Amino acid sequence: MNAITIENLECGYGGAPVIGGVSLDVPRGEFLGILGPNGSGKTTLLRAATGIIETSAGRITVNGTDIRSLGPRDIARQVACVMQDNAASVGAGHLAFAVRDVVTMGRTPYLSRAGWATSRDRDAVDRAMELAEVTHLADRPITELSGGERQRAFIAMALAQECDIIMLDEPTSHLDIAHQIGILDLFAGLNRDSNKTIVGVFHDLNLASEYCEHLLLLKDGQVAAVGKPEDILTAEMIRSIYGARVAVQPSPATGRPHVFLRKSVNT
Amino acid sequence: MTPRKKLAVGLVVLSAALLLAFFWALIAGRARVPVGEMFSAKYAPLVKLRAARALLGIIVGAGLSVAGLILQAVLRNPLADPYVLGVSSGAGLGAALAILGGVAAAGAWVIPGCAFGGAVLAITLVYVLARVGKTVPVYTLLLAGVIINSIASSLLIFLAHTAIARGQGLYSVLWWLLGSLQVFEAWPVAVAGMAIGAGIAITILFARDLNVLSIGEEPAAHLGLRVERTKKLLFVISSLVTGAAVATSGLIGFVGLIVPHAVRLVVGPDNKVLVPLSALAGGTFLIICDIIARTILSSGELPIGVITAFLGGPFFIYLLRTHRGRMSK
Repeated sequence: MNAITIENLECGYGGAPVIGGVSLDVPRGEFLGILGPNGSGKTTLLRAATGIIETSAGRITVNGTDIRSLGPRDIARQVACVMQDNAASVGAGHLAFAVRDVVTMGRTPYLSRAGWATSRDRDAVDRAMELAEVTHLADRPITELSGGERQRAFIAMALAQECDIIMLDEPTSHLDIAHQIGILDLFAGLNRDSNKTIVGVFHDLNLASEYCEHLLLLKDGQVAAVGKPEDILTAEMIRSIYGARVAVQPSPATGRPHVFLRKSVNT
Repeated sequence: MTPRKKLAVGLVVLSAALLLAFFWALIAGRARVPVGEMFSAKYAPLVKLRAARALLGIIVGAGLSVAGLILQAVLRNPLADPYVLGVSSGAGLGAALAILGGVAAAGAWVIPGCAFGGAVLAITLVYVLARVGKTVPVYTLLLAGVIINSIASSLLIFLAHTAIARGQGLYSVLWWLLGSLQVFEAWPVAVAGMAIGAGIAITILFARDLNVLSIGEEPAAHLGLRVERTKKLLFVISSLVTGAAVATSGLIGFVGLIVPHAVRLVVGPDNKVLVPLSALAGGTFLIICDIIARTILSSGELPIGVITAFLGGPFFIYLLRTHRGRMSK
């Protein structure tokens, strides 16, 4: 069974559809990267797949069930999402939740209105903090962390949801390369060891090439190409999708295709 | 300490403080009641009057604190408060229209109902005016609040003056604008108690939603929250509680700002703990403010809003300064 299937999806924000007729199968255990120029609909596709925006046509299933027949809490038990790190997202200083409190929010889809977190919830939170390596930060206010630490705390929150599917929306933008590698290694490990399905929107083509099993290129809300990184990341393809002249060479370290920029003025 | 333990300890401590303040309110005043003679024929009527007044203080203080707490979490903004944002003046305007329009006699719920309508209208206008994309930045929020507040207040003063022209007293105008816990009849207190009690009970059930909303609307949606529906419901609850408080006690400012922040400083930001404790602390705070208002002058009493504004103004400046760096984004 596929983790996610999308059939002829059309969706947007009221005006002209941002996504127009996308179909896609994501098998279980996949690590898929979604690439595309600004405004091509990458984030909108993720939002539709997690059920937080309405779709105007088409069908999305998660683990075989149409998401229209699932409530938001049911979806949140199957799909977790890690978004771009954003200092403003942790709120103003008066909302200085400790890391443990934020990670515990990942249990929201399992908790009843009046109920308190049980020992089972606390175990899930401890495991998630350990996986994301934030256990030592558990009692620190989230507002006082560095960008990389804060992002790990939000990753731990998503892991506490105990979902088979994890969606990423540029989870490493604004972070330095050590944090980029650290965080994507974490997801690669979850993909390999716990068979988590990972679908991520990437801005950085080389990062996507290095970590993803398959890549999907979006342009103007439609699928332009899907395939293995070496088939997708070619100079011609990038020129036709992004309108940028680049050179592509296999990485000397891993053999994965890497994209090199070319300036277009003579100096 | 687990949140549960924190709540248990807080409930014990603050309930004791509330009872103590209540007891103090019964004996303190220009006529001091000797403890031994509280139920004597001489003092019983006075004690009964003061008890009603303290009870209203508990209801209104608890309500305004929780209304402020809701606005702070949903707007993700530490300076949100029903008074600062013009929600209280909106409610006051609704109540004044009901009184002057002559429809108040139709039932006990009419004045609080109209106050609730005014509060909903005010918070909706503030929210629409202050929103920039998907966020509500602190400065546009305050600006929108100031605008709505001044429009509603000027209409309120206009109505008050037409009332004076028709022979109703100036005293009632001041009563509306500066707030008072004076109890003339039992039923408005009962109505406010029911509305505010229900509002706080629902807010306690939504405390986790308040927590999750405060990390952002999109993350909240990814955790399975129906964001738009929840936000609307919480705005309505906050307006209902503010409307009920204003309809019975006029415009008492800054309670929703001072109390939740003070409690938060001690117990942290978890709304599961914060909502019930802020309600208790708000009740205690307003009883104490009322005792001060009744006793600070040797002749007559001060409107309670003067006391809360005197404490709240500097507190507001302190919050604005300490949060300025983080909020300018």
